[in-house]
Amino acid sequence: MNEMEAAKEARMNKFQEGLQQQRKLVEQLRLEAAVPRVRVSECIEDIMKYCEQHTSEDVLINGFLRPGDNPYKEKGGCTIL
Amino acid sequence: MATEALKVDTQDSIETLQREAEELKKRLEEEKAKLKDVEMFKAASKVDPITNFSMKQRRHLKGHQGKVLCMDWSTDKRHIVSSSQDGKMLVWDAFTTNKEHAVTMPTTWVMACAYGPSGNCVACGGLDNKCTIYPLSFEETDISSKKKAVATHTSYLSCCSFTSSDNQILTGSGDSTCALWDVESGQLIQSFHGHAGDVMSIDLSPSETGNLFVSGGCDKTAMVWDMRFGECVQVFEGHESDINNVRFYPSGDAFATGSDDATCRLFDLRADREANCYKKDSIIFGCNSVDFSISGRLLFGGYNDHTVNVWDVLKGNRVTKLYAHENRVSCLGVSPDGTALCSGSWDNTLKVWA
Repeated sequence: MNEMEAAKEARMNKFQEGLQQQRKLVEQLRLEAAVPRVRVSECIEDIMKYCEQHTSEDVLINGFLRPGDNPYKEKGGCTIL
Repeated sequence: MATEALKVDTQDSIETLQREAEELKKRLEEEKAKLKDVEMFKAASKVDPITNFSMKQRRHLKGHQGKVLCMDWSTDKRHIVSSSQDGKMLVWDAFTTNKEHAVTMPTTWVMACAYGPSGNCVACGGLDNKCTIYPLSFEETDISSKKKAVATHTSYLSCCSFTSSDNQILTGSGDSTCALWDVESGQLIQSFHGHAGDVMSIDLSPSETGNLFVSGGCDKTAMVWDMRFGECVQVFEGHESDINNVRFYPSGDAFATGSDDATCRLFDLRADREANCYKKDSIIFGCNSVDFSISGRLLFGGYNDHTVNVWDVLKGNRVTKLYAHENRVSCLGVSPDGTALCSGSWDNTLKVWA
């Protein structure tokens, strides 16, 4: 192949690559556009419901029923006189 | 000439595709903006505020000789694995503070570590670009002899996490990809390409039908992936700097992120957008790590200013600030039963709060 034809071929390959990339990008964007979306207010309601349902188990918020239940509490006692 | 004609066609197609891409991007932005119909703190105004919150330092885990970079709880709720810049990985009993296992890695900066769901093995990696699995055994004096290198990336390993069993592990790397590996064969099952920068953190969805995981990176975006197909299903923008950590909300419908832009944000998967932003003018240092309390009401963030800020996820205010360490808080995690928070720091120690 002479130089001109080689250059043309190189340009073609670059175009094909660019085309591939653009096609992939458009496919991905189409996928994302097709995702069904829900209003933020509804999502927040669900998050709040989840928190409410599980708050009773959350000892970091409520603390333990008895201090002795906390596995990290120091056992035994020292009274500072 | 035939070649000329083809070239012209290709040129037109690229332009048409470019235009379509621009249109789609604009449409996506508009759709996402429409959904923000209410501010979270307003919607949560009827919820009772958190009162009488107190958390005390209960344990101080000393033993590392370098910055603590990563930690993970065992499913048994009492053991912790931590890895450090000094090249060591330590397994602690959080109740007694005893060090039960110590592994010396051949490299320094072990940036990622994870506990196997069975409790019988741990995985770690870092600047060696690999993820290595170590079986934990009390009989074996040298755990390193039984190690197994499972994953290889072309840049540092930033994070790793076992899926539902000890036999599958998900990794994230500075080479901007994530990958799913079979531990037994060391084979790559699926790779995930899409980030435009280092992947800093991954987290698997807690939902039972969970095939999803989220990743966050230096390209300021968080991406949600379907593990079965290697596809990115959603992209979340909003952060103004690197995302250092991502963590799913316990219901699996949302996830939180901690970033160098000094904010933590909550992104909702179903709304496909940011739902809340946790920030304060007085907080100017980056957040390295985030985790939720078991009900999802509290969000803990570990920051570069040595503190842990505790946020009310619903109301958006800061509940309290823990002056946790003497250097950056690099990692933190809530125990699987929600009884305690463990924080790790560049001050070479870990602390347990309850």
